[in-house]
Amino acid sequence: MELPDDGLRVEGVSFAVREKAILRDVSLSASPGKTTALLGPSGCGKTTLLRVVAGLERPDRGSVWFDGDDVTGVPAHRRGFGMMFQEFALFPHLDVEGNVAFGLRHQGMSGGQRRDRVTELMELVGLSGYERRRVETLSGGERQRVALARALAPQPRLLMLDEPLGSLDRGLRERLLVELRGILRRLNVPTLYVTHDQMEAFALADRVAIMDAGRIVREGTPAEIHGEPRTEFVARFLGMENLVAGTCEGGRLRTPVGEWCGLPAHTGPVLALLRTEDAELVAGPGGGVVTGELVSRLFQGTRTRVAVDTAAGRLEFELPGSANLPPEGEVLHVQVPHVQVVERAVAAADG
Amino acid sequence: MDEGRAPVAALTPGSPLPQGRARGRPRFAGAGPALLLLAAPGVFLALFLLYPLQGILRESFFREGTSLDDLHPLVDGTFYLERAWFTLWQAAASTALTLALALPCAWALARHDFPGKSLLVAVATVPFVLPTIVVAVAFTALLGPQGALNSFLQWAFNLDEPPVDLLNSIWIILMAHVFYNFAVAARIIAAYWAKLDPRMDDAAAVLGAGRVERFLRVTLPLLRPAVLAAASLVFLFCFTSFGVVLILGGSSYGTIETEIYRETVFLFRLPVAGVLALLQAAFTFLVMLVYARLAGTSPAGTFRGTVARRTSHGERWAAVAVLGAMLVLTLLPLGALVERSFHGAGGYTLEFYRALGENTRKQALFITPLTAVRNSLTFAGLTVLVAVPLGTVAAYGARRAGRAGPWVEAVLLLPLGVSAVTLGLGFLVTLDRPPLDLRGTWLLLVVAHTLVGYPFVARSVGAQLRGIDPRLREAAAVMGAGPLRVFVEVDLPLIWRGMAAGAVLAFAVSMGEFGATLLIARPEWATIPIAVFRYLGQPGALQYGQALAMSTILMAVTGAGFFLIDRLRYRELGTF
Amino acid sequence: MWKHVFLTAVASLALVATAACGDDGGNDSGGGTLTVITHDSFNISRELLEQFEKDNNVTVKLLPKGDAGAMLTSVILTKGNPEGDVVFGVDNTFLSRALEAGIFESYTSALIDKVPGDLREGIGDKVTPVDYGYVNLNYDIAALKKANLEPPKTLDELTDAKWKGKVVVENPASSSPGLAFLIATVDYFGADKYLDWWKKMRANGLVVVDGWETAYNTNFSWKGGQQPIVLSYATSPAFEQMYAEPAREDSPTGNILPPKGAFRQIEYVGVIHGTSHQKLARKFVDFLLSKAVQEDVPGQMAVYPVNKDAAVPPAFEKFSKVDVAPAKVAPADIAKNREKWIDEWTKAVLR
Repeated sequence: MELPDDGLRVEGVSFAVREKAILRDVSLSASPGKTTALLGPSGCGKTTLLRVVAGLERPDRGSVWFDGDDVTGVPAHRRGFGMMFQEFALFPHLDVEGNVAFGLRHQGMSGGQRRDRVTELMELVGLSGYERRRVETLSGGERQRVALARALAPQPRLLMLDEPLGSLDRGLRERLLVELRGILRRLNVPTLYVTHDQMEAFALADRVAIMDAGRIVREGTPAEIHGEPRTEFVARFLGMENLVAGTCEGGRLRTPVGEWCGLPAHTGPVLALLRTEDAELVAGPGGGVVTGELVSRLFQGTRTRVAVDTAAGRLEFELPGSANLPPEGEVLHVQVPHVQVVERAVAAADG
Repeated sequence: MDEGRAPVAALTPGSPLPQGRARGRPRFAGAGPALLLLAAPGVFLALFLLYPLQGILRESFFREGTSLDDLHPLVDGTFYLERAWFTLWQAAASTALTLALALPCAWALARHDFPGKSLLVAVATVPFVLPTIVVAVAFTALLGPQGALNSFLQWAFNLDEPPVDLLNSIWIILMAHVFYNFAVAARIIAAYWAKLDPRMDDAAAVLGAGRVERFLRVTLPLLRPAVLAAASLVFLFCFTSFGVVLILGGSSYGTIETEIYRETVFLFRLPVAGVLALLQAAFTFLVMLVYARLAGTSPAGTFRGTVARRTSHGERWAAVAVLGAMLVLTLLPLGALVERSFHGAGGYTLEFYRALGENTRKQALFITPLTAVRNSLTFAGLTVLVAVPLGTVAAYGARRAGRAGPWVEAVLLLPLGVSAVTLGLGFLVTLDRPPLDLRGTWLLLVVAHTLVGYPFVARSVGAQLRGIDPRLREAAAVMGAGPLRVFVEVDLPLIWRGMAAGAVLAFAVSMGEFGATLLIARPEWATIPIAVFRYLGQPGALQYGQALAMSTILMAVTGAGFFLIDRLRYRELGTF
Repeated sequence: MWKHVFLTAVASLALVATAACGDDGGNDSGGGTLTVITHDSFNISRELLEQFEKDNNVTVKLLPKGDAGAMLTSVILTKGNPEGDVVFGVDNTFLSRALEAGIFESYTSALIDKVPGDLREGIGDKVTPVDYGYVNLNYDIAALKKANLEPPKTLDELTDAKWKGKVVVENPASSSPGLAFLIATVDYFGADKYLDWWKKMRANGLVVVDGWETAYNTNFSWKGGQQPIVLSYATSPAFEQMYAEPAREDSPTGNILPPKGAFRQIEYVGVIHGTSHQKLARKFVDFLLSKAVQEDVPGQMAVYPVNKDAAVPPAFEKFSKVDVAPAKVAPADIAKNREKWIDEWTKAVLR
């Protein structure tokens, strides 16, 4: 992975609490103007990594660099970073203006200048006029925006967001996602975005790092990762469940549900991912065709999701909406043009 | 959204409601249910506080031959004004000092867990219960001219005269007040602090605030309700302080409470005493009103969930240092007392303890320590049995009273501000004929102890009640539970910690109660403080040593009692 | 948790039951109960009391009510419905208040002739003297020797610089011995000169505390305090020898007894007006004057018996002999001027 010289660079960070390892040898980067998402299930250590970057925890091993300087030993309040916390952590004893202006104390601004900055930020997040409001009277979406404004006010060199949309309901989340993306584009600071939601990460980030049990298991652009999960964990995490055991020999993949060719680099037993892109309904069995019993179908306009019971278990595909499906319980044949090999997940206790 | 959280927990307080509406009031607030609930504590107060009070006040103001002239001493010169002023400022100074000590202790207790924590807290709360006579002896044993500190300094620096002279100074009064109260203040603040979301501190740090700035701009304002609640309580205790000022301060220092005693018992100028008692009660009512208002707020942004978080070595050492200081402050005077109880003229000995069991002078009014301990425990146990239900009902009533809540609470807390002497005499004067002929019965003693004990239960339970989401009750009701079942299955599991916390303090207060008990108790029910008082009142080294031995027993018994009751609450320090 | 609650409840009830069943006093001999109200310093030999109970077929209930002032106040306030039949412990400084309140009824014991005339002056027939003591200054023998000071022979000496801060007295406004000594100084110096002495004492570092317990147990140097001269009783030195641990032949303290430098405090017993056990109450008064009780009294309460036939312990003779004339002020004068003297004293010494 490329480790550029400007922006954020995390190198080999390990962190343990009372003998339990939370982070294991983690390295990643975030460049100015780009958003890096930390994606992973709950408990994988992503929030802890964020805290290490923020300076709220000191790593046992490894270092944190920013713009070429080693900031590992610098305490949190001197790093000049900005952070938006899960559930926002707004100060209840201050009003909105008090919250947003909190970090401006040290910037050498006069009272009037501070107020102007607050107004500017309120406009940015779309909450003009909210300055005097008390925190407990705000709705979830409003709080999120105040938290963002607060983090941005002191013009941080790095922005960190910890599940910023996590406690909001679905409709709100999608709406705010779009707004957030717009705001992040306009700033030119490196951004670290922590979430467990794949859709959010892929929608917002330029690079995505997937974490599992304290390690980064996959890193790349959303397109790269989505196009090539490479491991069973990542595939499952992204919702790709069509994983079938098979054998590869001389470029030919043989599985209980079908055969494919064109996979030169592997031999021996493998785990194959049957991708749903470009899957089509065909009349009968053949190479690269999965045959099974139609269990359920869900019509969604432009596509139809089908679940098929096969010799390798239940597989799901998205077929064009116009596909002419047999009735449920009947046999159908799906042509699967894209198949990839993924690494099996190792059931290890301590990696 | 938040994976793995049980549905009930999702309804805990502080969860942001979707539309951001402020947490609503309980649905069933209203005059009807409130009055019904307040009937029990109301009747209790009316019979055993207001009725005796009006009796003694009537005697004070309307006896034959009393006229307005009798109030003349109050306005003759500035004596009473000065006393009132002294009462006020020594209470304020004591409170400030207590808080200065309690805050670091609260920090250490709230943010760190370690083995032996509940033992430490139990030991630190023991001073609260000691009769002031015992405290006076302990401080003398530590700080007197022949006490431990001076002996040590004289030995270490080869001095002729004892260098430390603190007896009869304002400093010793302040120190004794701090000694008594800091643990209670620390408990109140710690319980609150433990519930604050630590992420707010993190947010402030990332925003550029250093340690001190974070404490001043974020933590302290957030702690304000608890700090003010603790402050008002400590202020009240110091304001009505009697024994400490009387014994340790010498005659130059007097508070309104000591003046009431003097005027009533020594000078027999009842009208003057009556006016002073009224003034004191009114003032403490105001303080209680402020306290009730402030202690009502739950911490906003209650912390849930876990974040892998490490305390730095530096922080841990600081916590150890603070807690060490707390232990030392508590144990030094107590230790001095215990040491003296084993130290006869000829070296270390068990004779005082042995002598406790022997009626060396064949006295008619002899109390064995076992009897005294048994009596103390019995009355404390009975007090807890009555105070817990009474206090709980009172807490519910205050809660349902809606707007008038703080006023109701201030009234319920009134017994804490009424002079013990006045109340004791009130009992003698009014509760002496049927249907309330309680004079001379042990019931009266339980009543007296409950009066000053149940407010603690009411406060603890009240604090917990505020934290219960009304939707939990609604959910239970929808599932078919009647009000009683709702109480037993929803409320009780959530408030029993508050009940236990209040029970500890009610137990403590009962064990240490002395003023009213002296006036209404029969010798066969003498409690440990009374036994100590009797021993101290008799000349002779043996009697003095026995007093010390008895005090040590009192400390051991109460410490054990605290520890046991505290265990019921496991990790929590006790909401108050 | 319920287990704990249940166990606590059961334990408490068990305790209550044992408390109710326990009997520390005498048996209920079925002949009625005589309630004797006293102060907290009262004590008497159990055998003697049991003898009285047997002889009169009565149970005697002792009711201590705090110090003498608290006791008297509670008796006066409960005059309409008294708590007891007999009151012991009113002394000659409080007598006027008691007589004014009319709480006693007349009774002259047959044994009154055993009481010297001067002890009966001015008291009428409502109360009977039982014991007396002297209030005067004591000194710590060892401490004075160490400081190279001779015990003073007059009160005037104490205003000397060498006695600065070495004297502790009790506040006459709140302490019975304090008041007694104040009255003594009125007689010693004269009503117009006594304040001067007190003012000089104040300038000489006089320590004033509120009660005898504090002065003796906390401030007196023999007990660990700082003042080698304390206002106490003439019998205190004897008591120190009698109850010394370990035993000693001499007394560690001594008396300062200039003529009129001690106040004679006489304690009385009286039959409460309106008692329903008049005969028994009178018998109790006689009992208190009997030789047996009079010889018990010194050891129990550190006082001298009024009955001239009664013997005093040898230690009293050796260490607490008073052969100077005590200060003499009539109870009527005390009644008239007490408040004035206390006020004047407080203004001179405390304010």
